[in-house]
Amino acid sequence: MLAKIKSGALFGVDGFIVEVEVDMAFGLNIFHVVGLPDGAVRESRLRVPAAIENAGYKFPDGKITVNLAPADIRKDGTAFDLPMAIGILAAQRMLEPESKATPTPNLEDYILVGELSLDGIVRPIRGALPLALLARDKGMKGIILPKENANEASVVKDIEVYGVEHLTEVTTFFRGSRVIQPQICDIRERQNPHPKDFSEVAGQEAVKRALEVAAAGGHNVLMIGPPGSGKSMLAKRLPSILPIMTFEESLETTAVYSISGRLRGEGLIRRRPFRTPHHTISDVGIIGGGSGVPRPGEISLAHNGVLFLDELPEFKRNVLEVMRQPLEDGRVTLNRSLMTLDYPASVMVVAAMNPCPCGYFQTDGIQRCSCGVAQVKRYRNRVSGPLLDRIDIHVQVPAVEYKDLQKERRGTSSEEIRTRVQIARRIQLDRFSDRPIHANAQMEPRDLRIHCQLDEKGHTFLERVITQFGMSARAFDRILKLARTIADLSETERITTQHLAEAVHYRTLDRSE
Amino acid sequence: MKSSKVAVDGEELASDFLENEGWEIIGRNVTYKIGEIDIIAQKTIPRGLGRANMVAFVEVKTRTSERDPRSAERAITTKKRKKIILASRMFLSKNKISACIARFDVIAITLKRSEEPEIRHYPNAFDASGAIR
Repeated sequence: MLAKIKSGALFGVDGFIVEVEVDMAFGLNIFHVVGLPDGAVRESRLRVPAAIENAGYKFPDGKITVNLAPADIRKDGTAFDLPMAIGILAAQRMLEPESKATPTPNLEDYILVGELSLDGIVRPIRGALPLALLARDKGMKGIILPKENANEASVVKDIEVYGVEHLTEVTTFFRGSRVIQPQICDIRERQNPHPKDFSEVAGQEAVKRALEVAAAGGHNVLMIGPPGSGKSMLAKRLPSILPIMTFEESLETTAVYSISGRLRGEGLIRRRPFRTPHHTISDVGIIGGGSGVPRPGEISLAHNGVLFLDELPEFKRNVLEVMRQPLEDGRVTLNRSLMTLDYPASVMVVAAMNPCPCGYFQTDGIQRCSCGVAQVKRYRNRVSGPLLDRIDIHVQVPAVEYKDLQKERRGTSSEEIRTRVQIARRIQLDRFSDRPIHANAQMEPRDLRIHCQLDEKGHTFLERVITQFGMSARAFDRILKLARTIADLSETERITTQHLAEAVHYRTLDRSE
Repeated sequence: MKSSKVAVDGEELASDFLENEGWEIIGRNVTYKIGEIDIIAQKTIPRGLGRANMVAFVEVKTRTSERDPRSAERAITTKKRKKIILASRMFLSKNKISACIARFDVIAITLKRSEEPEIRHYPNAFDASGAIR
């Protein structure tokens, strides 16, 4: 007696169909699970019989073999409990329709996933959203999954999503003695306003402008300033001026959260993520990894959002090193002996650092810097190099002056800035419509030659600046990119000397003083 | 009471018990080099939409003292279970029984001086991997 149930497993952010085959044969009582099951899957050997018996069914005697096909890919996680249990019941012919009169759902049309507790309750799993997408792409009629995961999966159109709480719900569903209502998606069309707004920040107009440029062109930012000047406060407000997430972006970000099991009943993520990993984070923590199937790291959790690295020089060297490739490609590739998988990692990096170890280097306030020259140099050297290459904007965040503090805190609101940012982004999208890039920050040298033409005055100006400050060829490219974004913000096609001057201003670390 | 006598009495009680439950005893003290089985019983049971032949390999443990109420159960060690499993495979192949499902039972008996003996039956006590179910 054989039964086949369709289920799914994850490979990165993509799902693939796993067929759970259950064979009941004569022989000594035994329950085998084959098909490269990993830890938690092997343990379902104990969970499944208990769940079946406690749900009021009989676990059959004899030799029971469960195969997870394709049998050569390692399976982990607990999502196969439910299909196994249903397969065992189906093999015993316990899911036959109650009456021939009414049509009953066909077992082959659905993907089943869910962990079982010993009393038959269906517990949440990781990756429900990618699995629902898989069900849709494979032309299945629907997916049956834990109630807690129904919300995130219901985002997927064209399939029926059934959230279940107990094993018996699934059996009665297939026997036709009970109808479960499919989960209806509740995407709140209105984006709830970001809780933090730029108008709350006192002064710092120059920094706000820099962040606006960064948001408009997708440039990475480094903020340098003494403690308490508002670096973190400003960074936290950056997501509020980024363009509103598109549905596709939401789906991508939600998928990453889904496979890390971080959604907690939430539906679609509509707000850009803001991740602030602590500087003690490990390289695996940032790009992803771990035993078994590697999990996404912070850089992927910040996908389509902001990754904020506070106290940049305190981060471990290797952590900053491993971020280079993902920042370039917009995705993380994790290579393991048995698998290679990709996680999305299209992020805007915002880094913050003090100008020196004590934090008060060259500040005019009451606090005096107590660091030696060598100390300051060593501190700054820690961030120099390849990562810094990928940060287009360097901006000084000075201590806030008293007159700014006592002023009523009513700066430009985030919404106002975001409107400007979105206009600039639209210009860029049109510009790069035939290229696989979508923002100025991703321009390559040949794009620069086409889109960043300077006039005679611009050339003279830039030549003077470059020679005077001893800037490199790379710095020259950066300045062109930034000038392009600044011109886009003012909605002009031509890059003027004024745009260039502002761009030069954002390359403070290149100016060897 | 001699210890071998205790075991024989216990096995006698156990087979009477099984017969009362509707089992047919098809073997007693089946011994091979690799292991031994106390009682082998069979019965027809419903399975799926039809019926199937079920064979039970039963290990009997008898105790006369009530001081440690579960000492009989604990005496079925991993090693003992392995021997029973090996012997059961041998029995099935020697007797050419293929179309059956087979399970492993444990019957623990406490003999009492004045009262009726206490019989504890554990159907399907362990499976063919030796793991306790």
